[in-house]
Amino acid sequence: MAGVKTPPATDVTAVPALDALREVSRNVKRVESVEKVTGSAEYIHNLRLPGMLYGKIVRSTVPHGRVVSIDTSAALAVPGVHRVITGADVLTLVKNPHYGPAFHDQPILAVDKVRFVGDPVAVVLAADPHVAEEAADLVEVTYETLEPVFDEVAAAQPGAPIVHDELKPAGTFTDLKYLAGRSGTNIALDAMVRHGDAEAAFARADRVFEETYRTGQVMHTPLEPLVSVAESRAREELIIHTASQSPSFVRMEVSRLLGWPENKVRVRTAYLGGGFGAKLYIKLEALVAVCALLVRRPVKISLTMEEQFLMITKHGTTVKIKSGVTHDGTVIARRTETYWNGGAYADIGPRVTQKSGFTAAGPYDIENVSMDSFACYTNLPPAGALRGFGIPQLVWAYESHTEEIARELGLDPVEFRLRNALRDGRPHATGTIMENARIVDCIENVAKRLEWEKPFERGSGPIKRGRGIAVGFKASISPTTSVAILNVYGDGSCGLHCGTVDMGQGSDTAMAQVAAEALGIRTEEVRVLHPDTDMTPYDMATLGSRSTYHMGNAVRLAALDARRQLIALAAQSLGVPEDQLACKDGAVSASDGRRKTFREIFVDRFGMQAGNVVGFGTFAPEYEKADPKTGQSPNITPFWMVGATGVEIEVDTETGRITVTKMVTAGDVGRAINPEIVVRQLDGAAIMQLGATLFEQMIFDGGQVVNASLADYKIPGIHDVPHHIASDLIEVPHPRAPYGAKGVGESGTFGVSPAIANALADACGVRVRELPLTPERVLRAIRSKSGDPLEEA
Amino acid sequence: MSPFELLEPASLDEALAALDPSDPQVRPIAGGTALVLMMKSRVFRPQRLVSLRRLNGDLRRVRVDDDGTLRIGALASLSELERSPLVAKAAPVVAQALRTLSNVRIRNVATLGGHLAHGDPHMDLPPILLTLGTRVRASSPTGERWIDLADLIVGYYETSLRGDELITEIAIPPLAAGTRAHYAKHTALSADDWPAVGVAVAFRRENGGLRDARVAVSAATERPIRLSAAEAVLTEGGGPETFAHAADAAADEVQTLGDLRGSAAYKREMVRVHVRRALHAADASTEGR
Amino acid sequence: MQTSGTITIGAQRADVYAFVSDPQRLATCIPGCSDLKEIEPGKYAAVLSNKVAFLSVKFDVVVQIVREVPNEAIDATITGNPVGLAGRLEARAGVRLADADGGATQIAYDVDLGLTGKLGGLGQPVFKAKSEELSRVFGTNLKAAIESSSGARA
Repeated sequence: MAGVKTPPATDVTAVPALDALREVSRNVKRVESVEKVTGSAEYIHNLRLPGMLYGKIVRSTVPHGRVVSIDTSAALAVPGVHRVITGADVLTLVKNPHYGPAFHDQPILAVDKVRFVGDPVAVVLAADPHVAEEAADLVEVTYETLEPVFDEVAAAQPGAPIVHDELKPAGTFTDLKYLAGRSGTNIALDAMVRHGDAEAAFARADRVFEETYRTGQVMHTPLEPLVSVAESRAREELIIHTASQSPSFVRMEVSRLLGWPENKVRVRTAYLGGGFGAKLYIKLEALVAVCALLVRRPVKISLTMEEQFLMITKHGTTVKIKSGVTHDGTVIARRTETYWNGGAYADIGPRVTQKSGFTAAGPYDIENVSMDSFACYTNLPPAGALRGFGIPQLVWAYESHTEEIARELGLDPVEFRLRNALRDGRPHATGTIMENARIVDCIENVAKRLEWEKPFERGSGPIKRGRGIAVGFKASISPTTSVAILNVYGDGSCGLHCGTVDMGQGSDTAMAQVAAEALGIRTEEVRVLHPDTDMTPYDMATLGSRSTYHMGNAVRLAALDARRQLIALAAQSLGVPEDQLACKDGAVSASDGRRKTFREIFVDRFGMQAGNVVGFGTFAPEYEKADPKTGQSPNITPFWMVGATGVEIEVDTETGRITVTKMVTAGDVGRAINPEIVVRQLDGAAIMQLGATLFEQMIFDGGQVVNASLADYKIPGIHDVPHHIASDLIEVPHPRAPYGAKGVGESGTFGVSPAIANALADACGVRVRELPLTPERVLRAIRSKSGDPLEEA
Repeated sequence: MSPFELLEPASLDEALAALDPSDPQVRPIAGGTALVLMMKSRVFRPQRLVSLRRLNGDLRRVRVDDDGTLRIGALASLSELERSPLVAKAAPVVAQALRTLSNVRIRNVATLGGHLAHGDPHMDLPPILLTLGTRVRASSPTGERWIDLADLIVGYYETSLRGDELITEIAIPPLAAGTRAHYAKHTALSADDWPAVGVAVAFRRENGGLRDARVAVSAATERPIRLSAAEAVLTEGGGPETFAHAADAAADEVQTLGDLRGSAAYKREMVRVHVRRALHAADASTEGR
Repeated sequence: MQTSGTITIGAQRADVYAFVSDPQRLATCIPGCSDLKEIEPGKYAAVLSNKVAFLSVKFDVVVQIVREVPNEAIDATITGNPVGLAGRLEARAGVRLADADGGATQIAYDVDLGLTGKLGGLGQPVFKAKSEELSRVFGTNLKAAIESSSGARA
């Protein structure tokens, strides 16, 4: 890209006051609204290429076993079947066909072993997807079955069946290298934090509380299931069209597998019909790539809703937590042991274990903390990141536990939290000094919204009412990098080359607002180009609420760079020093009233409407890796996210059914770039977690998921949304964020589950320590407490 | 989905002639909301589907005949019934249940005939229709017959229809004056889920006692059924104690099946709770007065 | 998926054991079981066809006797695949015999059945309902067959 070069901008500290902002903080309508409602928005799901074959995956029917033989003859005999591809075919193209973001443990197709019911063993290719599906059922695979292990705590014990013979950490993360070559264990990663002396503090504590909390395995349920298409026109060239949250990572990983340079692999995406972490890192891309290269025709694999349950899920967990407390209600020690059920392949599980694991003691100022977090392999479908990156499971444990302590000590749960809350300027258990984290504000906000001080109506008859709150926090995943390019064309309009994937969160709109603010134009004049690794620069991924902060900073820097160049050009044509020029409303103007529109600047420079001004922006925040033995780091995260939830519920004590009548969320957002979208993000996240709290759970029988369909795995519908729902934005601009804006995609999930369990305890005095809070589970707890237990199932 | 033959006959006679009583892989299809799911999962692989979508006339009509019987064409969609003033007047309990039956997209295409002929025990309307004394007309190439709804659904997905019979009409007799009815739907998962337990009741009050008391249950059992022990208890009185006794009798007699919405023990308990509640709710209703 | 139950049979233990330990005779009592062949001692192949209303499923299965205690107990494993549909059936079945009143014999059986693949994912509720029905039919068949074959001795 030709452009006028000036040194890159580095200014990331100035946060303008609200009244100085024109585009940021404005409720701009989503840029894609019309396309979405008219059905013209592009989705990879709708892509058809000439000569394209459809692939249907043949999946393992045993939870753990060795592949003895694969008989493809009956499948090949089906008229219309083009080819059946197995692990042996993959090996002709890729020497070591194992992929994954943290561990190279997942084969493109099973090589020798299968590790869960649903593990891909072969792919049938046909021009007609129904033919492929029919034939896929006719591939006969013989297995030598091995003993499986399903429970995360059992998997971590010595003597458990071993899922992977040897650990194979990826080179991507240098701090996982020490795990290389470990064998005979299902613990993919053990992460620890040691702060103070927890054991000594337990000994001197007035009261010690210890409990175990569990969560079930749930699924992301994007309504557009995973889909990838690969085509290869030239000998060494590959184009992958994929519904992915991380095109840059896909390119890197597919290049690595093939042994090709990155410039021969092009990865592009479109709008995503939801992602929530399901479409991260690498999923179907390596498989379609290999298929397309083997048959030299475009290949598409689109999963059914049922198959999505076999691709990626959210970790089921067991969290053991122990706290030492003084009589006056100060928590002086906390120990946590978290077991993450990672399923058959690590995916990003080890990162969840480590990066979320270090927050397991909660947003509290506790002098003595010991945290252990174990990523466990089991013979279940793999688990990765789902809206919150493991945080909702941890908040479930520590906020249920915190409430139990407060109630046991006879203290008000809000006061107890405020007394122990971690405030800015105090060290977190990792040693990092907290800053710009509005923990206290969030707690106080939801308490106020619930009118916590006022008497509460308790219900009548079998309906009991209760209320509860919870607060959680999260570190941003680091270190990660974002790069953006703002290309100003000869007529003054511009295109933003940005790798952030808009999957419904409104990032196209937000990035356009940031670019427009920095460049001095209207948001509607910025066109955001969708990720295409041939055209958009590197971005680590759209995940973990990182885009607003990281990509937002890169976009702002790119726009400031373009702005500086435009001012420099205008200075020449106006004959006015640069520092006396202002850039706004699509023009550069001098104090005497003379101005040059962007187009005029180009005409002056090139003699006609021609040329480009290209602004670059790169952002990689400062970060210091934690000491692996103690988890200590002076700078563990670029920013903290905080979310609190308050609920009022009704419990039907005869059926166990919980109805959430009111749900309020407070999100520490720094500053909202588009307040209406941010409120919807918080509401949406809370509703999503409401499903995982009340009824969502994958149910297994011998490793087979038995409710893998929307008929039996229900997600919240409009009638499940609480009658009263509200989200408040806690806005204190973050000094290093673009215009003060922090990430917010997950904060609404944090407190929902424990807030509801705390309200259940408030309503009828029962404590349920396992999610989801199904009517049967709640009724059993109520009946056991009343001495009239329900007969065993 | 595997290849199959799809016929779209334009008349009932043609449709009946296209069915094959000897081949279970020949099926009629109306709204398709249940069958297509089974086909997509390949649990059901038809040889031939006989689509009823081109059939019209009486098969889609809702009317009330001279003696007050509500006659519903089997191909009337659930949405049409939901909005029908005739249904609202003749069987308000049906109209009430339709509002929470699955979702509007399903209701727009699912038909009442399909709802009954599928024989899935998790449906909302069968227990209600059982309490209302519903009969269905089954037509075949050789004629037609009327079947009591209680005799139609005989097991999980099993009906007493022959392979060459189609339900063509559903008849709900006029409710006796003063009939009170209620349907209690208990969901364990999302609000628009299938019922984990569905309980329907109907009765009328006469001289301080209850008459024509009917109690039916679905979703907790292998098929929707009336609970005769509970109904018998209801002949003994009409107060809250009777309702509680009837609920206990219902829980005692019902053979519940556990599933992922609740164990057998939980469902038994829900039958108890919801029979009692449905009786109270019906009693408090102004319906039919 | 588990089913268990007990059947009291008006026959002596030795006769009951002789019947249930004879695969050919036992197979006649299993609904939908056909084509039983011994493939090696203690190991048999068979076809299980079952129809749930208009849905029919056929499994090719192998039955392996894993433990036999004369007049006391038999344990077997059953593995198989549905014909034309990706999936797998794996079951453990156990039968325990005990004396019952009046010279009768009580059979306690338990079956732990796992289904994977498409049937396991989507057919589970139906199969669960159906398996209870099948076990009732099996019990009735077994009682009738043994009592008629052991005749007057009961």
